[in-house]
Amino acid sequence: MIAFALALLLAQEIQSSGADGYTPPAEAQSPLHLNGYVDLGWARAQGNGTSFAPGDTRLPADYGVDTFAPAVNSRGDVASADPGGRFTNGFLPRSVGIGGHGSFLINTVDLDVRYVAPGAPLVLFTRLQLLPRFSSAGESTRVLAEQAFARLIPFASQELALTLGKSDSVFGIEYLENEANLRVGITPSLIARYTTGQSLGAKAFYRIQLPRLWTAVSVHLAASNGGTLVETLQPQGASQTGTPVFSGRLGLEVNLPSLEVKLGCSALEGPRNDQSQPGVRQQALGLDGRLVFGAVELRGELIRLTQGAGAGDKVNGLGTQTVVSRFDVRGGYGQVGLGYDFAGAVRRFTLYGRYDRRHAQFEGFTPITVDRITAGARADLWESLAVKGEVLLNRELAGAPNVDNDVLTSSLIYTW
Amino acid sequence: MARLRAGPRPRRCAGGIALLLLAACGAPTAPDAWSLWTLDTLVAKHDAAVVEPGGPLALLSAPYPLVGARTAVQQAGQRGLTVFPAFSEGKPAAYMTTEVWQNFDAVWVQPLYVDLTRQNPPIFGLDAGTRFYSPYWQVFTYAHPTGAPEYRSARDLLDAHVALAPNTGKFCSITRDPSLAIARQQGDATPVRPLTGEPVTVPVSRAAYAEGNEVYFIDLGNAQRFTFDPATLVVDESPLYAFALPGADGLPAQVDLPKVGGSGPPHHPRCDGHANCTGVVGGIPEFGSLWRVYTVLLPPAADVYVPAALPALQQTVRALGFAATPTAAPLPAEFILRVAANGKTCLAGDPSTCLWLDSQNQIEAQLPDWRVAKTGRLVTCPLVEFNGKAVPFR
Repeated sequence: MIAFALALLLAQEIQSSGADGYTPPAEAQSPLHLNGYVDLGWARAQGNGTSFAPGDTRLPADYGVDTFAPAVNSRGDVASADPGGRFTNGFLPRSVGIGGHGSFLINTVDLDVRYVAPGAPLVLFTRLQLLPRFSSAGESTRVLAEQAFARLIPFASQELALTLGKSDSVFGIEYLENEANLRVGITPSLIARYTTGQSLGAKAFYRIQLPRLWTAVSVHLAASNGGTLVETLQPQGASQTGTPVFSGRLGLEVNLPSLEVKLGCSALEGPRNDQSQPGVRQQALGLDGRLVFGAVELRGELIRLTQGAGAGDKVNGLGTQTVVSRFDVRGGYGQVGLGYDFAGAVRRFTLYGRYDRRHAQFEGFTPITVDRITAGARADLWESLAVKGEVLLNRELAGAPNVDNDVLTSSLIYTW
Repeated sequence: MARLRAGPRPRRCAGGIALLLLAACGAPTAPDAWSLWTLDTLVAKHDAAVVEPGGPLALLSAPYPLVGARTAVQQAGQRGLTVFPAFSEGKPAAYMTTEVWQNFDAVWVQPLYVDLTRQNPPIFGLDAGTRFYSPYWQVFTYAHPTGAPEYRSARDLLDAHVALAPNTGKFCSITRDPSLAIARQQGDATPVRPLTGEPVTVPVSRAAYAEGNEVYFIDLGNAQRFTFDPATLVVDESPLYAFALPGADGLPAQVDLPKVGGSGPPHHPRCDGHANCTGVVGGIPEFGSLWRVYTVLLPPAADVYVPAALPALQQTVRALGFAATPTAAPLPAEFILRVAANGKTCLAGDPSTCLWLDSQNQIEAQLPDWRVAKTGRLVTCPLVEFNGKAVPFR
């Protein structure tokens, strides 16, 4: 979202340079901008912090449960992903390693570097993130180049942006809230793992405004190494097949004075990038919608994803795995938010609730159906501080054994 | 010895003696990469490991010796798992084939929940549709609570919070065919080993649940027929030696002769080559269910024993590339199709000097390592005869 806003801003700058009125000389503004945020938290999950049921010895351990359920932060990291020594096959999220204990956390330390080339319709952007972590293996802190891209706005008169590098997904709408300071709540949805991964490749965005209809139509297309899944599932750093994954979204937005409606449909097609055979494919279709009316915001997404079966050369963000199993999933979420603006120290206060449901099946395994009820509140203080609290009630409806994996989590974010 | 085909159309064994021998004793062609063939896959592919009801029993037909009732026809009412002759520990052995893995590095045990009160059918933790399925199970016993509903899946059990007690390993191969059993020739009271006609183990078929589905399984008794690492749950594999000759491309090409079952990891056999073993309890070996196929490139001096009284079989073996050197006097039937490293000379002279390649110990002692090559194929071939005797059903 930030990147897109920057692109629009740049387009406006370019437009204004050729129009009447005052335009500041390029050298008057620093072309280099540094921004960022720090996301601190405290979280506690039930049980041992995982979705693994005690006494369940079926293998792979991550095929019969939803390991992503006990999320504690905006990255989707879970309280624990420790299978207790049992064999897993790479369907796991990242973990903050706190098990079932309450713990303070530094979720993300983010540094954004933006360079606006003077006199050129070009933005260079890099987002570096420090992820302090501790695990049973000891210190496990990672440094991540979350985004690194160049964006070109070739025509001042058109809302067209071309992006090359590692940047946000184009599938659905949840990626717009990838960063903790932008997300209304704390944790991502149960389907975020399929739509919010950062993609390394090329993107094109085009939007046409229809002012008489208060409407705009947009197209967002991408060709990337790994598609839109998160990096633990589909790595982006290199193409393992030599063939890009294509994804895109067609959007319609109606911006009336008192009502805002945004609808979109997304698709993904290409080889699975967790293995090496171009013929082993993945496809996804998604629908999304947002409605803002006064203090109320409604949003929701649906997705259906299929990944084909391959051989035994599975490698993903978690390392070398084994069999590339066929995988099918469908799911979605609906979220309602109620936000009020104020003039004092509390600039905005938002209450929100979300319902998630996910039905998934690995090749030959029993399908599992889970859902989640999320409730929380967010307070924005002064200009740069946000405090959030959230509870997640995870339920195993079918297939997976019932397990205590509800989560209570909180977050304090200061943006600079 | 499992004959496996990758082609879509089944081949008929009646197409000629060579084809018959191929189908019977098989150098199997490779299945698709990273594939698992279960019992029901073998049935669907009309594989020679399974005989249709009333179908011909190739290994009990000419050119092989006719044994037992000599009808060479499978029972009319049920499919049968082919009994393949083999050698192990210097003695005749036999097995049936229930699963084949291509390119897998490991096979894992999965949980099998057994109700000690016998109110609830057994429950397999996985069904056979996943490539993580294996017929190797670790038993977890529990007592079905009085008045509790029937459990059908691991979720039912885990949600009920019944106490699960880990127990030994058990071999059970899942199928949807309730009639599937070991192949038995019409007119015979028990299944027999081809070539020699010795009776072999009679497995039974039982009903169970697998993740809520009603299934059946081939039961070879409750004795542990394999071992596994309790930490990783990886099943230990043993070598199964498949003889080979140089092919047209110079590479080893498997020939259709009885295979030789090993007893432990390469160069670490559990037996001495004469059935003095660790890991054999009550005549039941805790090895030899999960085999890793190794090709054994035979030296030019090697030959195969075929009795002079079986000229058609001699011709067949000669067509494979061996001399099938006749002996001055017939040897006991248990030597039929046995390979000797020095066969060309010893069979023609003094068979007592033959260096028979009929055990892991002998193969490793008589042949250099470069002649023995590991393949990507794992097969489940539970022994139904070992050390010349039927493996007891316990």
